[in-house]
Amino acid sequence: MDKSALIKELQKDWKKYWKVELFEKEGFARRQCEKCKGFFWTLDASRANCGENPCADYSFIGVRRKDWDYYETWKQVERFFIKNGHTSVPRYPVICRWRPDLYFNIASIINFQRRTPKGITFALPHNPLIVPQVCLRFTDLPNIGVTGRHHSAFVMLGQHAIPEGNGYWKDEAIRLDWEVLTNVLGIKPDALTFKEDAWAGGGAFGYSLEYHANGLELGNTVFTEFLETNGVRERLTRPVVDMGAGFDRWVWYLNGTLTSYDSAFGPVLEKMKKGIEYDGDLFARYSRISGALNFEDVLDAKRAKSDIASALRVSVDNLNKGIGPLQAVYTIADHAKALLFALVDGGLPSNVGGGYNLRVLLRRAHGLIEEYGLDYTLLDVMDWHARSLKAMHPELVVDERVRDIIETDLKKFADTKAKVRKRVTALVASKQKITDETLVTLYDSEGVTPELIEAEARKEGIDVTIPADFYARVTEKHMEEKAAGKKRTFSTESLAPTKQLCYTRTLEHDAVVADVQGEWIVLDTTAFYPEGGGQMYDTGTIGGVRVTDVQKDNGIVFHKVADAKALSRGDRVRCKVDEPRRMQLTQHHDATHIINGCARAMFGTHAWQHGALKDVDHARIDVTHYKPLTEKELGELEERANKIVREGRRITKSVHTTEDAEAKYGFGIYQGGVPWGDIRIVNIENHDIEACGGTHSDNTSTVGKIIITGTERVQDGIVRVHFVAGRAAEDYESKCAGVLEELGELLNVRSAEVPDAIEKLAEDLKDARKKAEQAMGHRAKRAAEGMTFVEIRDVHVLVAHVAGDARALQKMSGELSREDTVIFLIGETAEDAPVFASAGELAARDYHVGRILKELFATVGGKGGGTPVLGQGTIKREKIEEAVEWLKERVK
Amino acid sequence: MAKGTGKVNAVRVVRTLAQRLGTDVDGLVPTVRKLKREKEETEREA
Ligand SMILES: [Zn+2]
Ligand SMILES: [Zn+2]
Repeated sequence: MDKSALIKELQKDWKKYWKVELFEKEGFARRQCEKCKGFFWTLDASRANCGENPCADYSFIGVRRKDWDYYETWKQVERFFIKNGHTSVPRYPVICRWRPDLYFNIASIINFQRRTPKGITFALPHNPLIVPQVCLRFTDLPNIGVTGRHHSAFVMLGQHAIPEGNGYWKDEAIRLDWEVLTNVLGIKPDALTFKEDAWAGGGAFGYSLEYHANGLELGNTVFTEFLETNGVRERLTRPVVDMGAGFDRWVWYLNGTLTSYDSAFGPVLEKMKKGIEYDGDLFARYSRISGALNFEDVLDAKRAKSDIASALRVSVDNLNKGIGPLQAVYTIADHAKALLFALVDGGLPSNVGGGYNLRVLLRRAHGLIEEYGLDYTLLDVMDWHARSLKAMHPELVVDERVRDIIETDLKKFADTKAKVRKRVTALVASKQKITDETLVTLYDSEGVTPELIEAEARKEGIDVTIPADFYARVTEKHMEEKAAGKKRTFSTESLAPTKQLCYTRTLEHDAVVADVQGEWIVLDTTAFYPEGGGQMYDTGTIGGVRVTDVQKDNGIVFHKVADAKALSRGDRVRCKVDEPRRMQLTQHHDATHIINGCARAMFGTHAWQHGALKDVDHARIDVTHYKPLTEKELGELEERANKIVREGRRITKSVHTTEDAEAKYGFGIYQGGVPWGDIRIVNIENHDIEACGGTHSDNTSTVGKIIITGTERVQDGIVRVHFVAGRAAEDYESKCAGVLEELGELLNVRSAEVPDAIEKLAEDLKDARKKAEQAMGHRAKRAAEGMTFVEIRDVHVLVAHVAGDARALQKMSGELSREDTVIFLIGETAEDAPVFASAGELAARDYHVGRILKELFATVGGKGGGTPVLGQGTIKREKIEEAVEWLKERVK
Repeated sequence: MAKGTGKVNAVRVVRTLAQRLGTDVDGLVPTVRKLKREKEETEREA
C-alpha cells in the first residue's frame, strides 16, 4: 500500500481521522508545512514548518532539561502510565520466535501481532498496556555511529490499547501522550507539533499522529483501524492503538547530549573514550549537521564525507582524524549492545538467516577495535553494557556461554582474515579490479567484510570504495522469508475435514471411503497419522489394501494405497494401523523432545530445534549451536536423555488458544515452528514443553532407551544429532556388536582391539603414502635425467609423454623446471591422460602455457587451462600421440 | 569382547570410530576395507 497515496486519501476527510479532542480543547491549529507540504497541528500560531527534521533543525542539543538517566526516565514514564490505568509488561525477547516471517523483534506491536490464515490479528494480554520493547533493526547499519541518532538496538516504548473494556481510542491516546510529553518530560506545549501521517503493514493499516519537538521525532501514535485483503477494505473487528516512541530519543532530548549514543550508553562510553584522540570542537560542529544525514539517500559515503568536510571547512583527512575514532567508538558501543541482547535471548552469529546480521555486527565491531587499536575487547564492552543496564535489564549477563560464543566466532573471523590476505594479494597480482560485486561475493561466500578488503588493499596501494549501503544490501538479501515446504496438491473442495483419531489409542476402526483421487483414498474418519512435524506417516491396511503413504492437506487426510481400484466411494472399510511402526515412530518422537530439552539444559537459550526427522530405523534432530559437539558432549547428552527416560516422567497433551499457550508456557513452545489457530501442547514433566502435532506416549519410560549414534555439522550454527530409540536402539546395539566382530575379522584382531588396529592402519597408510611419494620423486628424478630439451630462441622446451598420474607429472616438472624452461608433460592413467605444463619466469614472456593448453584442448578434445606459468588438464588416452605432435609443432 | 557385557561399549566404540572416519555404522566396514586396500596398494607402489 502506498503511504503517500493513503495519506492523501485520508486527508480528504481530515477532521474525521486526525482531529482529536485535545486539539479542540487546547486550541491547536492545523497548518501546512512550508517545506514538505505535510499537515501538522500546533499551538504556536507563528510556526511555518512541521517540526520534523530536516524541515526544522535540531535545537535541543546543549540543553539539559532533566537530571534523569536512562533508568530514571523510564521509571518516571512508567509511573505515569500505570497511574493512568496501564499495565507495564516486561519486554518480549528480541529473537522473534512467535513470528516465522521475522527473525528479530522490530517494534513493540510485533509482541501482540499473530499471523493467522486470515492475516494479522492483534491480541493484548492487558488493555491498555505499555512495554519497554528492545528492538533490533539492521537496515540502518551505514548510519549507525555516524548520524548520532541511528541504533541497531533501541527501546521502543510501546503504548497499546483496544477500544473496549478499560482500553481507549484516539482521543484518550493523544491526551495521554500529550500529558506524558508536557507534564512528565516537561516539553513546552508550543514546542510540540503533531504531524498527520499513516502506517500500513501486513494488510492492516491506519492513520497516525507523529510528534516532534525541537526537530526531533519523539514518537508516532498509529490508529490501526483497517484491514485490506485482496483489495477489499474492511474495518478491523478489534482496532488497536499502536503508539511507538523511540525511548532512547526521549532520554536524548532530556539530556541534550551531542548524540543519542552519549545519553543511551553514558557510563559505557566514558570507559570507551579513554585513550582515544579526537577533536571535540570539530565533533560538536559536526553533530549540528549530522542530524540531517541519512545514508539511505546518500549512496556514496565518500562523497557525503567530502560534502561534510567542506561544510565544516576542514579536509576529509582532518575530518577522519578528528571524528573517526569517536564514530568508531559509538559504532562499537551500539553493536555490542545489540549483540548482548541477541545472545542473551538465544541468538547466534552465523552465516544464515538472522544469525548473519549478528555476525555482521560482531565482525564490524571487532574490526573497528583492531583498526583503532583500542585496548579493550568486544566482550569488555558487552560486559560494561550489562552492568550499566542492570537496573532496567537484570537478565543481561556476559557469562561463560556468551563469552564462548563470541570467542568462537572471533576465531572463525581470524581464520577468515588469513584467507582474505591471500585473496587480496592474488587479486592485486592478477591486476583484477575489486568491484562492488567482488565485495558482496566475498562477503557472502566467505564472510569477509569490505573494511577488511579495503584495509588489505590499501597496504597494496589500491583504493577500494565501499558502497555506503553495503551492509543494508547484504543484510536485505538475507532477510527473505524462510521458504515454504514442498506441497502436494490434492483437490480438497467439497470434502469435509477428516475426523482424526491418531491422538487416541485407536489403531483399528471402521470408516467410510469419502473419496478416491488416483492412488489416494479419503476416509470420513482415520487413525492413520499423516506425515507432519518431521514424523513419518503410518502404514497399515484399509479394507485389506496396503497403505503406503499418508499426507494431509487442508484438514483432509489422504491415504496412498497399493490398489485403489479395490476401493470405491461409499465403501465401509476396516482400517488397521501398523502398530509396531506407530510405536517406533512415537518412541522416536518422544525421544526427540527429550533430547531437545537436554540440549537446551546443557547449552543454553540459543539451543533451539531447527528441524527433526522421526523415521522407523533412525531419527535425528537439528539444533542451533555454535560449534560441533565433542565426543564428551555427545556422551553427556545421551546420559541426560536416558536419565529422563529412566525417571518415567509424565507426558501430557492439552489444547490451548495461542494467547493462553504463550502466557502459560512462553515462546519456547515454538521449537518445532509456529502453528496457526489452537495449539496442542506436549509437556514432558519438568523437562520440555512444545507445540506439537505428533504422536506421543504418556510416559518417557516407554521410550526404553536412547542411543546417540553420531553428530555432524549441517550448516554454520546448526548441529545434527543422530539417534535411535526403543526397539530401533536394541537393533542398533546388536548391529554394533556385529560390526565390531566383522571389523575384528577384517583386521585380524579381537573386537576389543579394533580401535587400536584402525589407528594403526591409518598410521601405516600415512607412512606408505609418504614412502610412495618419495619413490615417485625418485622415479621422477630418474625420468627427468633422461629427458632432453630443445633450445628455441634462448628458451629450453620439453614436450614428453611419460608414465604417471597428474601428481607424478607435477613432481617431474618440479624437478626439471628452470627460469628459462617451458615444459609440457602428458601422463597416462587407467582412465585418461593428464596434461601438465609449466613455464619459468623468463620463458613465460614468450609462452603462455595456459593459453597453449586451451588451444590444445580445442584441437584434440579435453578440458583444462591455466595461467601464463602453469597449466593443467586432461585428454583422452587415444589422443596422446596427436597431442605430443601438436605441441611440438606449436612451440616452434 | 565378552558377549553381553560389551553391548554399551560396542555402541560407543562404533560411534567414535564412525565419527573419526566420517561415516555411520553401515559405512564402517566398507570404509575400513577401503582403507586397508588403499594401504596395501600404496605399499606396493612404494
Ligand atoms: Zn515539513
Ligand atoms: Zn514434536
